[in-house]
Amino acid sequence: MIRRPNSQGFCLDLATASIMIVGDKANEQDILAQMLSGFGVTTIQRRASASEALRALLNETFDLALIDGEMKGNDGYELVKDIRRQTKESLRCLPIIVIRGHLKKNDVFKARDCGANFVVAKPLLPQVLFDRIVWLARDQRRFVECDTYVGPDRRIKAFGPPLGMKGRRSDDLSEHVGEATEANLSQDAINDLFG
Amino acid sequence: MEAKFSTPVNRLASRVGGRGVTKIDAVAQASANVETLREDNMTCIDQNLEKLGNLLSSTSSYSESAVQELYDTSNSIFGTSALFGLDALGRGAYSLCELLSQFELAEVWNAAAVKIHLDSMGVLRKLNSADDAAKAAEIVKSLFNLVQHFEAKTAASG
Repeated sequence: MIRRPNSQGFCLDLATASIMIVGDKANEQDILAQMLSGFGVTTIQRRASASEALRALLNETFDLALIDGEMKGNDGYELVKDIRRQTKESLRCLPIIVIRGHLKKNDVFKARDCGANFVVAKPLLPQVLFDRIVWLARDQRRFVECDTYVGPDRRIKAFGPPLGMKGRRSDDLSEHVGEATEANLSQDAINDLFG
Repeated sequence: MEAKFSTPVNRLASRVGGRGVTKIDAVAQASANVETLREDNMTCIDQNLEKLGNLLSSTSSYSESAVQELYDTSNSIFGTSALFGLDALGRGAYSLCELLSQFELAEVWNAAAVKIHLDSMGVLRKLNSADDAAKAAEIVKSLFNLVQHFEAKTAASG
């Protein structure tokens, strides 16, 4: 088993990051803004509807968007889909965390298929948000575009969480094996292994 | 259209590493900032509890809009309670959301099951000390059992 450093060891430098919060509940927006401010973010824009958010996103470049999935009419999930359909790459590939509360059975697929980098369950505690932002920053998933889906590759279980992050598969062997620490076996030694 | 794979620039990648704020400091500052919102959010939670009671009083049979409004209000309580030390209330609100989403699927209404949730949530709102944790957990467990029972009954009746 490989011991990896946990996220405690990472620092985040978000002082110059520009982050958008989208949601129709003012108190929840306040909470997110306060958390981000505690992480050192100084440029936070808030929008109360999907249409307002998309207008702002088209005009400016953001580093991250936190979107409430439960805005009236499932607008949160639709907004993510709209973002993923944009032609401007910096917007289409914008890192997005969708935040959701209770998820109805009917909405499970909407959450999975909207194209967000992460769907995070409420209650969203500061440590969870910090971990997710670090995870997102270290995320190396490829971006997939096809008829039915645009967004980061959802086959995350094939490689588990990024190095150093806690998670269900954090003890898996890493695909990043690094440099060899010993000399290669000779062909004779390999042949001996197979009898 | 064939699936197209690409590796876009991760704009956040350069923001993680040795520079900036550590997790311990960031979380401590964020928690302190959130704490400044306690009073407003407690008021909001209490208003939502009251709203749930009013909605229940005005609902006598299944109505999609009424169930949705109850659901949204309960979901709002679930979303913030745990941030202010009301974990058990949050779980009670989650249980009510689960119940209401089953009402929506089966297009049924059961005022008694909602009332049990609201009465229990009223109690859970007041049980916020460590000494009350076992009692609160027992109440929440009963609510989840009630929802499971309702689900099994609905499934059995087709």
